[in-house]
Amino acid sequence: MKRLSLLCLSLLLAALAPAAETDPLAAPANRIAPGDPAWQDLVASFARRPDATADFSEQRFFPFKKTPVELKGESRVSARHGLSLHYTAPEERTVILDTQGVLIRDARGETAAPADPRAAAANAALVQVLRFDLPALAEAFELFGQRDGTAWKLAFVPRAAELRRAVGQILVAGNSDAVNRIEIRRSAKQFVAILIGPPRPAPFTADELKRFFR
Amino acid sequence: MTFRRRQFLGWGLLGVATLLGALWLARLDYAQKISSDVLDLIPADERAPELALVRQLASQAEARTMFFVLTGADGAPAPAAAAERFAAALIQSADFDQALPIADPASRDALGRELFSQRFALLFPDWLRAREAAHAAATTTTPFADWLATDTTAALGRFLATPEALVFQDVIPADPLLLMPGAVDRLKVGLALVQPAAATPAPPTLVWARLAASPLSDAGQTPAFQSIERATAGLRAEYPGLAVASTGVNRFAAASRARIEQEVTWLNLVSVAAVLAVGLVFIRRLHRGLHLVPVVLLSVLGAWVCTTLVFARVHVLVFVLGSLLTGVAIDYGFYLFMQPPLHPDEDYWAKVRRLAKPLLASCFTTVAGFALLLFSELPLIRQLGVFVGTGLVCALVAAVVYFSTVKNSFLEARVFRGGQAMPTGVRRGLRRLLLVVWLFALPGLARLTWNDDIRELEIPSPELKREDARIRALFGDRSDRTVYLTYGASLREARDSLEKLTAWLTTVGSGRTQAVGLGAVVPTPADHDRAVRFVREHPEFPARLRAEFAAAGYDEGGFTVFFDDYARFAVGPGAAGLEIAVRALQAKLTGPLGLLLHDGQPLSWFVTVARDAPTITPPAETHTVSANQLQSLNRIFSRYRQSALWLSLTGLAIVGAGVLLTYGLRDGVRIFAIPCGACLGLFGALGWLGHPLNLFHLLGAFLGVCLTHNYSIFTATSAYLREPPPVSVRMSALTTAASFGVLALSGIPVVRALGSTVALMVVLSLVLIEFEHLAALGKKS
Repeated sequence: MKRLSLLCLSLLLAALAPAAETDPLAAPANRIAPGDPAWQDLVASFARRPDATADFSEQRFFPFKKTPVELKGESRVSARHGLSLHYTAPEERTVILDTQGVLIRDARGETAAPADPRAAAANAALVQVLRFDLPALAEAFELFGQRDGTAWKLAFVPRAAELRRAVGQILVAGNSDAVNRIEIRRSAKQFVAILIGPPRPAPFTADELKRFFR
Repeated sequence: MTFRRRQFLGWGLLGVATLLGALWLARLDYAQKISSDVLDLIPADERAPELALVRQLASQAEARTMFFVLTGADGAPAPAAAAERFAAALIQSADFDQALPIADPASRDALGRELFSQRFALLFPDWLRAREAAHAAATTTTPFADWLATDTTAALGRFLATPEALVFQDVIPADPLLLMPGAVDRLKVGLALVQPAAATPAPPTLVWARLAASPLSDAGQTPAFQSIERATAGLRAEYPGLAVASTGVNRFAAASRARIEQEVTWLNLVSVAAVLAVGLVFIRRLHRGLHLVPVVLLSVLGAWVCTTLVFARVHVLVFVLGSLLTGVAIDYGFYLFMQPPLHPDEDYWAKVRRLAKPLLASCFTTVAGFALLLFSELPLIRQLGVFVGTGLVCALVAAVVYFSTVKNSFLEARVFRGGQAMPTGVRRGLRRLLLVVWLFALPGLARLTWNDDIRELEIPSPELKREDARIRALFGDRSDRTVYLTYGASLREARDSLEKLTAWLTTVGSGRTQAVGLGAVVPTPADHDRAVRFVREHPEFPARLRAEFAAAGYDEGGFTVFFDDYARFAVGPGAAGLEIAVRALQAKLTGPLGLLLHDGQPLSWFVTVARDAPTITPPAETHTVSANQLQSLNRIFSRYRQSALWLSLTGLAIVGAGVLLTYGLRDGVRIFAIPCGACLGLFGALGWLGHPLNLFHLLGAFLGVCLTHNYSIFTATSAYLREPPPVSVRMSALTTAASFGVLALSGIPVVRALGSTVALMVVLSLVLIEFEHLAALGKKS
């Protein structure tokens, strides 16, 4: 009676969700292997990338709403500490994704997302995307990609049907070692698009680490 | 009648009785008849709801739960796949009806789906109450339904900008009131209370399972342990070194059973050895002492037969405590066998007639006292009353009949002078000293302390307890948490009481107490009924809400599912919908979730887990017991003790009245002073020593009084003849002290309490007898 991790009702609702639509990028011709030599320069480049801050805007498209919900903020990416999204509008809130999972800080305090294997896989994926850790991503996702000069696009399609239904697919676009856009796409009318501005590489101060990471 | 004819008749009578008894015992189904279930010590119709709750809990899923921790060869957590296969193997065994890895979200998914399906009956009422409160606080003149439509639309807009919106986005078209996110939000407040160690970097591999049979029955123990062994062995081919640690009520029950069986064996063996040792000291030709064995065996046989005839189910502790019968039943044999004939030609039946008065007086007053135990509330005490009472009657009848078949019915004893070895003056001085000591001990009665602790009934198993605590901690069971069970005659009553508990936790806990339970998703009957009234009395609300959604930029058809479900709720079963919804939810609750709610007869209950809970017991009107507080059960045991005290005092009065009627007032008081004095003196001394007493010390004292008054009566018979205390009394007292002294070595606290009390009383009484307390009777006659 005392073991109630039951209370995680988050992704369980994914069972009610429709199947996600597939992006054209996720076509067999674009499939890539984790160790694909054509992508190793980017892997190496991301590995060398220092901690950085960037402005971002986020648009959330819902099928029941005619216009997207718009959010703005600052993102912080750290190979060691994970990803921190500090929303400044419409409400101040910080979402931290790291190896321990998701932590949300807002006016009500801190909330850790409950343990759930599906949530853990999706959260881990976002952290790995920002590290360009293709071998780790390949464990849970099929990888697809295209390059055009320094520009590149990647699509991550969950291997597990349950996760595919819950998360959809993750599309990431960038230029050299900078990530410009992350899209979590359930369908053409239901997706989240995060547009990331130019990175401002700089080591995080102790105060930043305390406020924006755990 | 010739001796041969008497012998033939006696053997025939005893042979027929033995045969009938043996036949009865041979046809018994012992698994069904003999219980080692601690709950059988509690009355089945116990009127205290706490005990009814405990009985129900023990027979419900809670007690059938087993917890498993799987580790690999290196001690690290086993792979998740091993947990899945282990759980599957347990279910296949048929000894378990549920088994699931804790990491498996299937049960949570099922709960989520059912909550979503029943969201109007279960979640809407709470939401509506909160909105009504917000409307009242807003001090607006806008009608509630209009305000609610505007407020709901604004809340949805705000929610879509939160991280949770992405999780719930597929649900929102059917739930724009955000009932599901609200429920999750309420539940997750308590999540930290119940989060297992799974949140650590290397979470343990845990499996939760539910036994198909009661953990207190055979079927819930050995076969289940064998299934666990088989499942583990089967997996070791794929996962070498796999180790499975487990705990559950059945582990404790099996250990208790083994311990009791072991105690029955060694207590009886040591008891017989102790009695034989005493016999060796007193009897000249020990082989002749073997004539006492059939008397004891027939007494025990009679006790077994009568007890199993009277009771449908007998607790095994009765037989443990009943081993004392060996020491008591031998009394009549000793007295009859060791009394020398008046003259060499005295006929056996003449001797029996001569000794009939003390034999009958001692036997029937003792039996009357034990018969009174039949009025006890505790089944164990009632069973013990029948066991010892019938055993003593059988012992007396068997002794009289058996010794009629023995050619020389006199067992010569070695002569020990005992107290008589001392000069009369010394004896008188010692008697006076004893009186002073007794008078000094008496005020100790006022210092007696009682410790009625239900755990005294447990068999101590420290290793099992340590392992249990370790495994439960991995499952998130922490010592800083309090588990409350809130009960009622129906679900509605239980939910109303839960509301009172929640209010009490909020008030008394000063806002520090965090709690989690299904109360967060099951409304009170009043809230549910109000929600039903709202949807029926405000048919305009859906249209208002639709208009507000459209004005805020939402698709016209985006919430069709919601409005259809809302309309169905409006024409639904009304007030009865709450029970229907809760039962539907309960049907989907599997694994640990299934323990949060019970809908049944005679009680239904909700479970609440709280941190920083008040240290005091919830008030009576909350109808709540704390699962980790024993006070309420101990209070009930205290009531049993008081009831037993009254029974004992009444029994004493009966025994005393019997003695007074038989021996007259003056002699009767002197005779009865030995058992009563020993009892009061012993309890007084225990009071001075600060030794806490319990129900079983009281029961021991009652037994002690019944036994020692036998010695007093037998000694009085000799005193009237100006003879010293008969050797049979000395021998009988010492054998009884030996057999009860053996019980004092038991590992079971209640058996120890009973054994030590009786042994001490018997020794005290013997000392009084040896100092010729009753010698004055001879001088007066």
